[in-house]
Amino acid sequence: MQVMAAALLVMVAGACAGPDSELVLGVASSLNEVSADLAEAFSAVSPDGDVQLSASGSQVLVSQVRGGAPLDVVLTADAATAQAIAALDGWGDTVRVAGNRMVIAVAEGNPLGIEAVSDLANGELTIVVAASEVPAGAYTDELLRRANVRLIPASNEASVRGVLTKVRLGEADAGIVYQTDLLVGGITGVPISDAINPTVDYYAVALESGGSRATEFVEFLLTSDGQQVFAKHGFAP
Amino acid sequence: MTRQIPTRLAALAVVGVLLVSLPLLGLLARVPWTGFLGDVDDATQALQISAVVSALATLAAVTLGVPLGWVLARGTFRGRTVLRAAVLLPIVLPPVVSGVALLASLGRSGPVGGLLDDLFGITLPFTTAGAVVAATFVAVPFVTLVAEAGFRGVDRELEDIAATLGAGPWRRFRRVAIPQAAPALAAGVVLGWARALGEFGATITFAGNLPGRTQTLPLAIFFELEQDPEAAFSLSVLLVLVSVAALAVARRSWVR
Amino acid sequence: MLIGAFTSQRGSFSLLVEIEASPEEIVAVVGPNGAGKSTLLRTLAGLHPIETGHVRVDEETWEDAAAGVRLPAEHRSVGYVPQSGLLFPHLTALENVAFGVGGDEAAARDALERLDLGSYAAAMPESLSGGQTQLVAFARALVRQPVLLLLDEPLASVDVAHRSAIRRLIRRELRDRRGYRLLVTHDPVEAAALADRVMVMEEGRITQVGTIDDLRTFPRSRYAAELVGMNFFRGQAVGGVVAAEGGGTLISAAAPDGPVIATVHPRAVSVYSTQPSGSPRNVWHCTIAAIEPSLDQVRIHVTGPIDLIAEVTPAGASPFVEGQPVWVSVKASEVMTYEG
Repeated sequence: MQVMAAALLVMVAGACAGPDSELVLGVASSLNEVSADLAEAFSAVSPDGDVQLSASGSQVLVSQVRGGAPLDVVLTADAATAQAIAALDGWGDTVRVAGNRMVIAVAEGNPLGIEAVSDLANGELTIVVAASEVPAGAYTDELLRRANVRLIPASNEASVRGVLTKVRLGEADAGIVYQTDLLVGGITGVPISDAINPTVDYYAVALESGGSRATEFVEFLLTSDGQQVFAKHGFAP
Repeated sequence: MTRQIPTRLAALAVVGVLLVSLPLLGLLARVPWTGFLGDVDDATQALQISAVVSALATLAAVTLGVPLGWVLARGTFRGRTVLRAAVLLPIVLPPVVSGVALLASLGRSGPVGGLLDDLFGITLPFTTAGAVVAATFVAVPFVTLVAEAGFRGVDRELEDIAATLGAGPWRRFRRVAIPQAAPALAAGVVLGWARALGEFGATITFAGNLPGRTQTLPLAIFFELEQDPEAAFSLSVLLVLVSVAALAVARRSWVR
Repeated sequence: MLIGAFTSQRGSFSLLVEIEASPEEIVAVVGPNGAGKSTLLRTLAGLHPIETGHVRVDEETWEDAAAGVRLPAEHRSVGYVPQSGLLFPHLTALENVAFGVGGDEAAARDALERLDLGSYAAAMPESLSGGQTQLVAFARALVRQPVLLLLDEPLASVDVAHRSAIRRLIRRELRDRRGYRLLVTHDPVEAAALADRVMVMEEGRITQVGTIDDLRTFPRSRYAAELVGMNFFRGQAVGGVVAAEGGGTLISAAAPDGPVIATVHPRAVSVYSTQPSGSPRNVWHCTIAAIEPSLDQVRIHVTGPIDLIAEVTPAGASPFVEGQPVWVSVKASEVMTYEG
């Protein structure tokens, strides 16, 4: 009985330990690696406390904020998600912090010789894309619309990383991912012409629970230090 | 009778019940009952896929699991413990791990999947068959577990008598063991079906997500959550109601 | 001939059996609980393997340990009726009986009717009484016309009121057929009523084979003697004087010298409150250890230089109380002594 009471206390204490000293970052999964470096860089200039990372699909971020999860800043892969979150929280504005583009992911060395989005319409190929409900999927839909290509994917993955995995494992012949995802390795990227390539915008929203430190973090992202981290990971300014 | 339950245990039991039932009650409270039927109607495709996949998976799970349960209950070979542990593994594995394992072995580039592709042109990922495989994988352990327990409960003396009456091993299995274990086997079928119906992690990892082919009801709910949360609530409640009905049926034939 | 000469192991318990049976006779195997009687039946039925030896029935080798031959139960022409009948709970009485004959319901119905159970054909086992269950199990075994019929305590689960009626039915059925018929019982009355020959089994060994009369007159073990209600002594005899193993001396009218068994019928034991005069050469001063009223007799247990059980009428027992010192006598001619 006493052991249980003690455990309960520790859990409650742990839950309460956050707000003042710690900054919790909710990021879209495509921002996973860059966020780790951003957190480190920020801690270097503002060592007031830890920066915790929580990566998930953008749609999960919305659910989390709606459900009152203790997030202080969110980084999303599209405007719609950022606006939805800003509206829910009703405190900070959406701030565009970086950009990205789409690219076709194929097996290393491009053995099937895929050259353009129109090649993906070939019914013999197994193509995977992100589900439309996910930002990467929305961008993919936009891309396909602009390219005037009708595609029947084998699967609508829950996240763009899922698409990447399927191509890397050899289960899919090709997929549409972000340019930044190419850095993960194990795949070759086939570029998509600028004419049809949608610009992917990344937004940051500081949430009320993060207070001034959250705002500080968002501002940091726009500084040259912050932008350098983005560039290192393949993002466009 | 309740006087005989110590207060401490009763209190903990109440907490347990609350923990399990509050989320479900909360869900029921949020369902927009006016739009319920409409939401369900929109999900017809997912419902159909779920119905087909879970039915086929249950059939496969029973065909494999019941004999497995028999072998584990009556077999006297060495390594039975290891076999049981291997068969029950999917129960303790996180479903996504099951999916990863299936992908690694039965995927296009996997040892078995590659063979299937080369020799027969069969690929399982991204197909309804793949969804059936994923659901079967997670359902078989349940059927096996319950079947083994059921068979263990069959009086061996009855089988002995059947032997003296001229019944060989197959006839003893079919005409004595199965009828005697019938309540447990029925419960196993229902549990296996419920598990197959609710499968998510392995399905999305191995079979993928394509409406009309691999998007089962749980997958539809997951993606619906961001488009139209209320529809997701409706569909979730539907799944809960179906599962509750299944458990009620299973319990009746199990606890006799 | 049925010939079984084998050893068998069951846990820490071992059997060493040599039996021979002809299809002309019904054999009862009697013995105390735990003697291995059920194991014997199960081994003959093929449900329990032998360690060494063999089992042969009508020139067919059913089991031979040395040659590595073992006919499984389903291939033996055997009918086994276990202690509690063990009907299949999910089948009706008729379906139970038909189980061993490929579902032949006509034959099953005949078999049930022979035992006056025709009206129970559609009954489920849980609704049958102990006696009815036993008879249905009997019919189930009989309908296959097996070469070897094994009954394990056939009347154990039958209540007293029906016991003699069911015993008669079983006796009629057993006598109406040919083939090897073995039954196990701990009740000497049952053995006497149903069997031609009796085998006594104790601690996994057969200690005596013979008719029930053989047992009665010449029991060869304490258990056998107790079974037929005789006082039993082992000892050394010299010149008609038997020195019993547990202490005490018996004078016998005709005793061979050497190791002997001496038996005394309880009714030949006389109990007196005062020292008797007259001819009996066996007289002992004992104490009454217990007085046991039975249905129409009273059994008085005495201890002293010798332990004896006397059987007297209730009137004859009335003067005595437990703990009372008494005089006990037996005529020398009533002490049956034989080589043992």
